[in-house]
Amino acid sequence: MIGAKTLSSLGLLIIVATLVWFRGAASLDYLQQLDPAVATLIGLFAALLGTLVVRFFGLNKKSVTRFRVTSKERRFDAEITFIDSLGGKITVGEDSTVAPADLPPAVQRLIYIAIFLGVGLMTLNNRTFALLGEFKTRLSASSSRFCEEAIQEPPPQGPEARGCALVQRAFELGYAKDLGACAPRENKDKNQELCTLRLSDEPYLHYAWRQLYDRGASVIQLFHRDNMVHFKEQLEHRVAHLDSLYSLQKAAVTASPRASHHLWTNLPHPRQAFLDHTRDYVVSGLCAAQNSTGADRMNLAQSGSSTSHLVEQSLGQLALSPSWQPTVGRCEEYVIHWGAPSNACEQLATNPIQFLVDSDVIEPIWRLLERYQTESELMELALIELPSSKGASNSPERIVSFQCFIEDELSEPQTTATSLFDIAGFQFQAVESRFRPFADGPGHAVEVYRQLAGLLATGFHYDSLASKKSLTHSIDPDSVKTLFTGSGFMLSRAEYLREMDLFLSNSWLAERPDLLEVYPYHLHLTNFVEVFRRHYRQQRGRL
Amino acid sequence: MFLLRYWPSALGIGLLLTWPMLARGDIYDQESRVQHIDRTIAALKSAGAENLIDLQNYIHTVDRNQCRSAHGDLQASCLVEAAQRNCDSRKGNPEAMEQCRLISDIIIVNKLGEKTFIDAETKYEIMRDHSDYRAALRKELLQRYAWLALAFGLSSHFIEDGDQLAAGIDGYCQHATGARSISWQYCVGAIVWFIRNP
Repeated sequence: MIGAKTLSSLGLLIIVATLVWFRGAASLDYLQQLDPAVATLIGLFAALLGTLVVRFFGLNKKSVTRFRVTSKERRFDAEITFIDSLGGKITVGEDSTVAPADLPPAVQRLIYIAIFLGVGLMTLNNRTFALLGEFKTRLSASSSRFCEEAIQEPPPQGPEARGCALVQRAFELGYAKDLGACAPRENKDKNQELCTLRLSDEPYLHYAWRQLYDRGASVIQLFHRDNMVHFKEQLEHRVAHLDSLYSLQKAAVTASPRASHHLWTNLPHPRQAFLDHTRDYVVSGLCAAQNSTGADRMNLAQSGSSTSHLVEQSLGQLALSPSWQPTVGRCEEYVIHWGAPSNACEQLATNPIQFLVDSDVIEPIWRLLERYQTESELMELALIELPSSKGASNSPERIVSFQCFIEDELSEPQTTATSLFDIAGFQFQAVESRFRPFADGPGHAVEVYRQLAGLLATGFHYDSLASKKSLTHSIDPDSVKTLFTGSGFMLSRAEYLREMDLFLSNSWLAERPDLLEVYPYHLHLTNFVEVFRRHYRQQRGRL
Repeated sequence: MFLLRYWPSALGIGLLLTWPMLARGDIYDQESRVQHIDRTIAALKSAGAENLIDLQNYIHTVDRNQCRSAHGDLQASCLVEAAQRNCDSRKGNPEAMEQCRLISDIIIVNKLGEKTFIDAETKYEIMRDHSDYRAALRKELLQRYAWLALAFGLSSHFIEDGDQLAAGIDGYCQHATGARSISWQYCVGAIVWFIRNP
């Protein structure tokens, strides 16, 4: 004999758990991408509603009605048959003499909290949370949209307007190509579309009725025979590719990486200490750059920054730092392979699969290429559309890239080489840049920035045309150093720094740590990163 | 005795050691910056209102006439030269000359930084809406300075101790270069000017 309350709560729990399972709302991927605020809201929703429902419906008290499994012959008067099968029957009824078996009140409450947790997981996600936040704005926006008043007739224009006689004459004689502001204006009303928004003098109820009527008409239209046939065809078409659509949807919901860019370098890891190294597993150096808000300064002024640090920092700033918008990717999409062999790109080009397996990166690359293929197939079948923001379609070499940044004492000051290879039928290139060890001092940061930018975006070049410094005049290179010697007018003379771009030929500036402390990085570094990102987006993209 | 005998040699060695530093001109190191800010605050505090207005008018007049330029560095060098000439006329009183240079410096840098604090569109609106647009622009500019000074006052760089004020301003403005995209000198100029004219 089991109480009705216990049985119904267990039944509900099973139903909700099944739904949650099938919708994938309890998968680790889904939970990981949830915004902390959404997760908190779901928790609150479950705790409050679970407790309220238990209290309000008295679910923490003993059941009056109970279910009983019995043989066909035995049945009490105050009960009815619920299920009758060959083996026996389940009856439902009341029996005040025997207390039915019920779960303890605390367990009942936990079950209902779990039920509402499941409901919350299925109904609340990042998008719904954002929509809830915008609810007030949307409400006020929708009620405040009115049709514009009819455009007044434009005042008479033409040659008779004041000042236009001369223009008209010049036009007739061929001295002017057009009449400009004196040309007769066309009636703008011709191109106006029918406005279905609320009229300024329309009562709200009439507007609401009009809206309801229009919606009703569109619903009726939706169920028209032709539409239903078309809908059925579309549905069948989609069902036939359900697996592909599901995998794409899953990748989108779980925010899996949309690109995979790899940089191999023979430089050591910038953080050798055990604790720092461990911290990298939680938040990598690149993700730290991505999440920082004020990291738009370089380390030039800090002596002792290793080249490894500078490589990590410059990649973070060039591609990921949100100080400049838009960024070109996410930190999970960029991997720096420290301590790589100095012939990494050669190995990659010779035996790509084996090298990528050894580097432990083959799996994300396969996943990405698979996703690319699925997306391309579905686009060909017109089952998905390319977002208008993406402009042109992607290609594998835009979303997957391989670079090597190799320190080599014997190389020329800077050499770049490119090797081609195939993975899964797609052609890729490994671009290698070799550089001599940088001399100690703050000046080498600029070189790291420039070389890395050139490696990541082939053909990237930064010169005075791209710089923010004035093109029309320049300060004499010999006299430039004297501008900052002597005393007096310290603040005014700092103005000259705004005209000195570190990324151009101002290497002497790197030898002046005092000037770098007040250097306007927000002008020149910002410009360098923005120019780089514009160039980079032409070559690389995201799915 | 020892020092008396060898002091010329000691002085020579000392000069030799400090010469590279002087030649390189480390005038923008932290200590120099803080000293400069400190001296500027003191000069502004001790300057009479009339003197201040005179210097402001002089710089503004020069800026509107012979120093008009689209390039900040050319404008700066012209204004500095004009201010130097003006201050050199007080050679008889070194203290007054130094005060004149420090105050002129802050007026020039605030002149150069105007575009950073008030963009062209806002400036146009002010000029359109006010008959005495210069007074309205000054008021608007002072309000923007007030916001920056408030941000400085709320930051961890602000220490109420008078001796630490200059160091605090310098530290905050270094931070502001990256975080608020405002040049160090404009930030210092704005805060120091606001302290004198709240």
